[in-house]
Amino acid sequence: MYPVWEGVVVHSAMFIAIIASFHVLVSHFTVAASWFNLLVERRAYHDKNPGLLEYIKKSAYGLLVFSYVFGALAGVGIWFSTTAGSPRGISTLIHNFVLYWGAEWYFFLIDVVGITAYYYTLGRIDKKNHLRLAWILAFGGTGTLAVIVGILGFVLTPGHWLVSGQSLDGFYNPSFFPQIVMRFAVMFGVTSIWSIYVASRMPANSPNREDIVRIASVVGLSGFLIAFLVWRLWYLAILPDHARTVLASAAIPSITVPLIETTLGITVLFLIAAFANPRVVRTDLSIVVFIALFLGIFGAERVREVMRKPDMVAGYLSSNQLIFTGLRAREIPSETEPLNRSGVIGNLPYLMPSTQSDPHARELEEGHLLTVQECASCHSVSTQTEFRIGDRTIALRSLAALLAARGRHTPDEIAAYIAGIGSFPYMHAVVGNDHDRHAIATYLASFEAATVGKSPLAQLSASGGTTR
Amino acid sequence: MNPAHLLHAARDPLGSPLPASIFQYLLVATFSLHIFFITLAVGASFTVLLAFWNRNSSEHFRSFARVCARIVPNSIGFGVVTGIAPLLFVQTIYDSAWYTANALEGFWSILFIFIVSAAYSLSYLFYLRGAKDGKLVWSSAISLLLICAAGAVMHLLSTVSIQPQNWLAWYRPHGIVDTSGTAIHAFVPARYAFLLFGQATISLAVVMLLFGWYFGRRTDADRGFVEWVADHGRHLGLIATPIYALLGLAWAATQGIAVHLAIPMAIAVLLISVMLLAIFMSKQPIQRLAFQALGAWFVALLGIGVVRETIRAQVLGGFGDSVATYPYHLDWGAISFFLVTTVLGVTVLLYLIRVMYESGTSANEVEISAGTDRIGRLSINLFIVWFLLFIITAVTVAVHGAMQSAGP
Repeated sequence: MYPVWEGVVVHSAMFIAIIASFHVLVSHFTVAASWFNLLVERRAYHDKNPGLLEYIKKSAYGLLVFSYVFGALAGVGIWFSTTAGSPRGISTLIHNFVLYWGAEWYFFLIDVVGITAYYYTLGRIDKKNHLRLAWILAFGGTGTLAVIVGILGFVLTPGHWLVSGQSLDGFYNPSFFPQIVMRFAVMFGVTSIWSIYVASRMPANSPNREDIVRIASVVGLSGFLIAFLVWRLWYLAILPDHARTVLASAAIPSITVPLIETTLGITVLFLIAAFANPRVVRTDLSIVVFIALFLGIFGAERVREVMRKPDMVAGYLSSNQLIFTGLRAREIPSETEPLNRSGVIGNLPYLMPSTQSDPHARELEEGHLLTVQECASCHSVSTQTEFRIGDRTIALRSLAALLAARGRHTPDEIAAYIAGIGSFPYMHAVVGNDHDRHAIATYLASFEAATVGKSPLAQLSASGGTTR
Repeated sequence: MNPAHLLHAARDPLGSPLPASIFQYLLVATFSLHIFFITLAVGASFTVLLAFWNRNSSEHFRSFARVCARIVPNSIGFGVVTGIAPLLFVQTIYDSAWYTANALEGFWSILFIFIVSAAYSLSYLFYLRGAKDGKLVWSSAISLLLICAAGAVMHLLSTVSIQPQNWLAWYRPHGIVDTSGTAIHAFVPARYAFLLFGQATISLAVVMLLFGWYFGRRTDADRGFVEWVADHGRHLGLIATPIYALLGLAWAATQGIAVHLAIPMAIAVLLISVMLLAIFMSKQPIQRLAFQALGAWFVALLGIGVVRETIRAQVLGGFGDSVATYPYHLDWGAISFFLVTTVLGVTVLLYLIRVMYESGTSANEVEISAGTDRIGRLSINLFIVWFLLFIITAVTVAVHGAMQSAGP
């Protein structure tokens, strides 16, 4: 068990989500761009059309300068953000899959060294070897996809791993096949915007510009169509019942689905327009569509994350960073069962009893510790992770706001409420004994009072004596 | 709750898929590669600033600064990618220490990636828009500051991770839990200065010698310039090595004393310094000297990597957290996956490096050698084999899992 980092101004979970979405955007278009470049370069040699190499030069340069490095940086960023915000979640993945990630590292190296070789040797080595570099980049990128999909799928559908404890069972999990096909298809959708962006920077009178825009549009529309079909007909079908229930629940913010649909609609319309009339393509428009795609990916990745609530690894590790179901094959016991019997305070390393002499102050301090430990990975539990835009307070499912909206203000009302949260599909029951639950309720009442100002504890909180 | 209990309680119950000592070796080896690129970025950035801020700098100096302007973003990029491997391995065998440090310093941990991104972007901005005539040199200066800041964050995480005796007090100062991760809890200036600046000058000196060797063979290269770079590389090595030694001794005299390793650290630094001085003083032709310097420098980086690791092992071992006792569960599926990919990865990387090397031997189009061509063919074939194995394993595991789940 580790200390908790809540975040500063922005909640730690949102840091993870923003960095991860950027990584998905960049890595997706990078992988498929390597295939698209291969297609264009082959065509250039086959049709004896060296003009197409102008596109290759521009695309490779963009990939070299921007996407490979920023893709890697954002990938490292995910590690740092999850390490700080969700250490036991990433620890479970690392201790299962470190050697798979080690294997993926070779693909990263191949990608970065490969794009450097690919760009700098264009026109400086023979066509056969340069085309071979294009194949290597395409294979290398696809290798990274193949590895990461196994790890990504594991958290939602660990499958037979829950019985065998073997990493191969977790890696080739039930959602592995549909997800790899779906993501591979989405990549071509995303990269089509990249290709159109690159083509838009070619001279307007270039005879190849319209050709590339049309090919990219077809590739992109096909990619999105295939991905959509896989999502509807294959991926949804293999999802566990629990994930489908959460998908239809209030856990998915109401804005998320319209956001995904709107941004996907904008992208598809752009691709249709580009195919119908390649001259409408402009650099600034491509960038706008890229931004729209980022928002769509942000929404989609949030859905993927929320679907496994209340777990980090479905059926094993919950969002409060505790192993709630042991793994018999590896002789790992449940951590929550003994804590429910003996209480959390005093039985986890960073949750030692308060030394305050005043009973109320002691309960508040312990309640704060417990709330941070049990709730902070999904909720704002203090004003530290809030910010204001005009009259609006932006927070991540602030518990103060949620409790106020449900008319729960006093410690007793809140204690009664949190006693029942285990019945929600996206929540586990609070871990601990009655003392722990009451301490959490006391802290939350104080937090609500200080934030929303509707509780009798507001004055006490405002006096500064309750947030310790 | 004592530090030993904190460390023990946080260990992941899944354990390591290999004996932890193997990851320890891999950690040191890959960190050495990573720190080479990072320190090279720092050294090259300094060169850019010195050349373009001094109006009286020679034309050769400015020409080399333009080369450095290209080296900086590439080094940051390679530094990031090579840094992934040690990041994986440190999390595996030092999970308790590493994750605690990241949680306690969460704000800085998150900020790290934004700092590196900005440093990379600014260094590219200078390379694209400023390297020709020295305009926008401010972008290079800020980039350098940011690289140093990123190094400081890594230093902070490493230093906090080996102070378990303070973790509880840092998390709950005066009983009040601090979940902001903004406090800078530990910093050892001598260690930071040695690892970043002490090593930066030597990395740059070695690369200058390599530049002299590589471009010295090109008939179209400006011989005077190439010789100037090689000579100055040798001189830089001679000047930088004593500074490197002094900074290393300062590190031994501060953190070394605190962890009871001052004498072995001082001996290691002095031995490395003597070896480096011998190389830089050597009058060998550049063709031999460059490779000797590169080899010696990697030995030195490995040696310092071992020192870093010894400090960590000494401190955490004192609290009963030893790599030797880290639980492991041999995971043959994962081991096979990694080894098969290693064969592929090493072959493909060899091909890529040889292609780049051969393509740079002339200003004109180059015919790739038959040997390299064969490695290229092998690379593609290995990729095909890898994907076939990947799919066969996926189907086999999926069918086996489904049969097991269905029961008898």
